[in-house]
Parts: sequence; structure tokens; C-alpha cells
Amino acid sequence: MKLKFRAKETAAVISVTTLIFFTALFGITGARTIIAIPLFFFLPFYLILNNFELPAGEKIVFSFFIGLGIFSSFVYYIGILVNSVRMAIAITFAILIAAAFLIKKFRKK
Amino acid sequence: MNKKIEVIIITLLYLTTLYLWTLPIRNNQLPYGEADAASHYIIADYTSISDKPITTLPYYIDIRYAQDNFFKPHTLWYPPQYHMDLAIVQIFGGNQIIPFYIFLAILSSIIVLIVYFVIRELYGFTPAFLSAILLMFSGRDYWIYLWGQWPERISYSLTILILYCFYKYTYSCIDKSQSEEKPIYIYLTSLLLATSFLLHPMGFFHSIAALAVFTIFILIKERKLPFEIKHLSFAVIIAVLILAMFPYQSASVLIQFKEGGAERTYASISTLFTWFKTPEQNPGVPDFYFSFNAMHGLWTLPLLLLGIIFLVMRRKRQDIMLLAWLTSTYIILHRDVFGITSFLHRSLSVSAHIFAPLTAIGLLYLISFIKLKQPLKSYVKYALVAVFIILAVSLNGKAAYTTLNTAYTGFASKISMPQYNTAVWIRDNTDINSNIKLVGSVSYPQDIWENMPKIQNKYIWMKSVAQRNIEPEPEKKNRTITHFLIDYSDLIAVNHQQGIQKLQAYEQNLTNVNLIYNKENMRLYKRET
Repeated sequence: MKLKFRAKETAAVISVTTLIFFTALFGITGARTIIAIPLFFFLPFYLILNNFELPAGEKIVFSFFIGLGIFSSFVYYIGILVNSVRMAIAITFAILIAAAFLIKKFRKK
Repeated sequence: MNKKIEVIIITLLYLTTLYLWTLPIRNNQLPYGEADAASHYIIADYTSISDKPITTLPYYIDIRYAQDNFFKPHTLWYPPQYHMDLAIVQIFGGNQIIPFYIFLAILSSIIVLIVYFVIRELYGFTPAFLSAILLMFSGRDYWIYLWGQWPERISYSLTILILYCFYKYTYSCIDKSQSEEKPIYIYLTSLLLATSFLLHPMGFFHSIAALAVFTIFILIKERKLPFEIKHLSFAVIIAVLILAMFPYQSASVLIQFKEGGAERTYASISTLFTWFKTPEQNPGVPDFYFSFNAMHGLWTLPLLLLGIIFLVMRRKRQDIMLLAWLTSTYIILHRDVFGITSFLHRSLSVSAHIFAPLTAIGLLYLISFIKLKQPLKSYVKYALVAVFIILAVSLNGKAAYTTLNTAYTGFASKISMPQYNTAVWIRDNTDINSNIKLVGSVSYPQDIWENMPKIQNKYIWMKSVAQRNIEPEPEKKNRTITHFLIDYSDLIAVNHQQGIQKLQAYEQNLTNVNLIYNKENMRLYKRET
């Protein structure tokens, strides 16, 4: 029997396996942690880079590492402005997601 | 092999890596690491607990790190990104310790995935997979992860990725006639370089050296300028703008860099004939850190040399990139010949990142030498790959497992539960400007990974968790003692009767104090004002 994998199914299998792995090792804290990492440091930058012609693997890898430097930069300064890191995380996330959609719209035009 | 199956295989490999690297925190869910580790923990921990980014250092951090920012004392000495990343995960994870150490394990071991990705793109699955296996057991990475020089791990890891982006850009310029230029890669190079600086400047300098050597190599090989001036200028502007966002920290690094060369001691030229000469004076790490056998395994050496020979002989474009990285690492490790000695031994840790792919390539080169017909040659290839994996797991893997599984299990190597609980109580119930004299905790451990002299893990970590100035002798530094913390927990745990009696006598002699905390053999007295 030949196994067939599609990209989305592969991503789903990997995500669920990773979530189960961290939940098994660290409980709900592990699950929350492993959701937070891609949510903040990967997703916004992946959506931004997805607007450019790059291979899928490169988009995934570059997004995460750019996210490590840029997401926290925004949180730091917005945190000073609004006097709360928690609020700054939410605002930064919203700004970056909005930026991704704006770039998409702009590039379509 | 189907690319999606490859992805599943490398995911399973990386989850195994994380299973291994999280052993210390799973065995004992209390913070660990030596003094540097605590200095990173306190910034993230203060940020997440106070819900405020640090601008001016709080008192308990300031008394130790006030002058570490050379440009603007009393402010953060590192750019805030690394610690803010950890604080974000602490906040979302809903816990101060576990999310911190999970993310730390990921950031410290992510080189496994980075090298896999780049080598997979340039050389294919097998060398990439074998490189990843070597790196998951890399002593030069997991020892430093255990000690606590955390931000530089991820910063160093970015070098190969930065080089890869630049490689993609330069060859898109050189091959202009065949395909269009891809300036996005030089902008990504710039973004990743800036990120590397913000995470830890050491990695940034390594990456700059690698880019410089790579550019020279391409110029020699291709006899063409491998970039467009307008692209390069724009990339530089992006990087400078990002670094300018954190002027105090960026300026501090520049001052440190400049002053680092003020008092120069020059190493002998003979060191050029070694990969790294073991320092005569211990720079604060054990001798085995300088041993190739202990860190990489002597069995990898012939393959590593074969890999280098193969690349030098073949000199394809991707080979030039790896050779440039190797050469730049060699130059960096010999900067003491030019009198630049600071953090030299720390740069040595990147050896593993370049040695692993070269070793894997060496194995494949060895296989290519074997003159056999198919399918016999394929069988030999699989057999040699299997032997490689068996050696990596049984030798390097066994050492890694033993070290990570027993790390910080020594009695005095990390704070105990009573000490942690007391520190949390102190954090929630005392003034942030308190000076707390700690008496009774066992300190000065001499275990294998704490064999740097006189590391005071107990009080440094109590101080970090409590977010207050806790130290054994604050009076010697002319600080007014506001509290006395009498810790019987360690002495009772080891049944040290003489020590307990001495501590009781000390406690009875305290005057003008009120007992405000008394749990788990920990007693906190507040001094009357």
C-alpha cells in the first residue's frame, strides 16, 4: 500500500502530534506553551511572507526566526506605551495580522 | 523520498530532541542554571509578573547589573527581545517556570532543525538527517544550555540561515540571465542579521564574518560582484533602522566592542595550527568543553576531515558556502592572534554547527568512493548510514542522555521546594527595595556542571524568584539589611546537627526583628525600623 500525504494533512498530523506530545509531558501548561509559540512568533510573519514568492519551507522557517526578533520588539514598545505587556501582545498580534492582509490587498492591486 | 514523509520523520526526530533536552525540567520542575542563567530568568520573570517592559532596572537587578550597559547604566544591558519572547510564553503558558524552560529548550536546540533545513535544501535528505542526529546530541550545545548562556545559542544558530539567504540572493544575481534577481533574499538576510543582533550580538558578529568570507570566495570563484549596490544599500538601511530602535543596547554593544580591544593580549602564531587551543587559565568552563572527543566523539573526526576534503575538491556553489562558514569560524576562533580575546571560548560552541554537516557529507563522500554496481551499492550505503546512526546514538546520544537526565540533581545545585515557596512569598509580600540577608542555605556546589569556582546557585535563584535582593552578606556591601532569612531546610535535609545548632544560635541573637514567615523550616524576620 502506498501512503499518500497532502500538505494540509501533513501539517495537521504534525500539529496534533506536537500538541499531544507537550500535553503528555507537561499537561495543560505544555499545551498552552506550544500553542503560544507558533501563534505569536510564527503565524503573523508567515501570513506576511505568504504574500511573497518564496518556497513553502523557506516561508515557514524564516517566519519563525524573524518573529523571534520582531514580535517582541513591537510588544516592548507598545508595552511601554500602554503600560501592559499583556495588552501589548494582543495589540501587536492584531497589528501584524492586519499588516499581512493589507500587504495581500496591496500586492493584488 | 516523499517530502511529506521526510517532514514527518524530522518532526519525530525533533520531538525526540525536545524529550531529551527537557529532561532536567521534567525531573525537577524548579528553575536551574548557573549565574548567567539566573540573569536571563530575572528579566523575563520580572516582565511577565509585573506586566511591564523593563526600561530602568528594578533595584534587585540594578545592584548587580547597573553598569553592564556601557552606554546607559541602570538600563537593560541586552536588547529586550530574547527575554520578552520568554516573558510572552510565560504569560500565555500561565506558569513562570515550565513555559520558560520549554521555550528555552526549543530555542537552544533549534539548530537541529535549522541545519536540517539548509542541508536538506543544498545536499538532500540523508546528510541533512544525519547532521540533525549529530546536533541533537551536541555537547557544545547542551552543556551551554545547561549552564545558561542562553541568548547566544539562538543567535549563533541563525548564522547558517543568514548565510543561506545570502547564498540564494547572490546566485540569483550571478545567474541573472537564467532567472530574475531575488532581492527578497537580501532583505531576509538583513532582517535575520538584525534579529541575530537583537537576540545576542555574538551571533551577529559570527554571521558578519561568515558573509564577508563567503563574498570573498564568490568573488574569487565567479569573478563577479555578487550583489546589486541598491539592494545591498536598502538591506543595510533595514538592519540599521531595526538596531536603532534599541539605541541604549546597540550603543552599549558598540562601546563594549571598541573597549574590548583596548587591552590587547596577543596569542602565539602557533595557535593557528590548532582548531582551538585550550586556554591555560580556566575561563569558567570545565576542561572537557575543549575536548573534541568529549564534545563530538573521536569517531566523527575521520568523516569530518573527509567532508572538508570533499568540499575543497568539488567546490560547487553550496560547497563554497559551507567552506566559507568553516573558514570564518576558524578566523573567529583565532581572533586572539589579533589581540581580541573576549568571549573566545564561547565562540567555540559553534564548531558543532558546522562540523555536523561536514561529518555527514564526509560519510556520503566515503560511500561515493565505493565502486560497486547497483543495487549492492545502495545496500552498502544504507548499511553505512545505519552504522553512523548507531554510533551517534550509542556514543553521543548516551552521553547526552546521561548528562541531561542527571543535570542539577545534586542537593546543592538548585533551589529546593521550601526555598522556592519562600521566595514566591517574599516576592508577593515584601517591598521591592528590600535587602534580605540569607543565612543557612547550602551554597558553593562543586558538581560536574557547576565546577566553576564558587557558584552560589541557591541564593542567586532565590533572589531571582523572589525579585528581591537576597544575598549572604549585604552588610559587606554597605546595604542596610531589612530582613533576615534563616534557612534550616538544607541543613535539616542533610541532618547537619552542628550546622543547625550554629544557625539556632545565630537566630537567637537577632534583635529588633519580627518573625513574618515561618514555613517548611524557612523563617523570615523583618527588621524593625
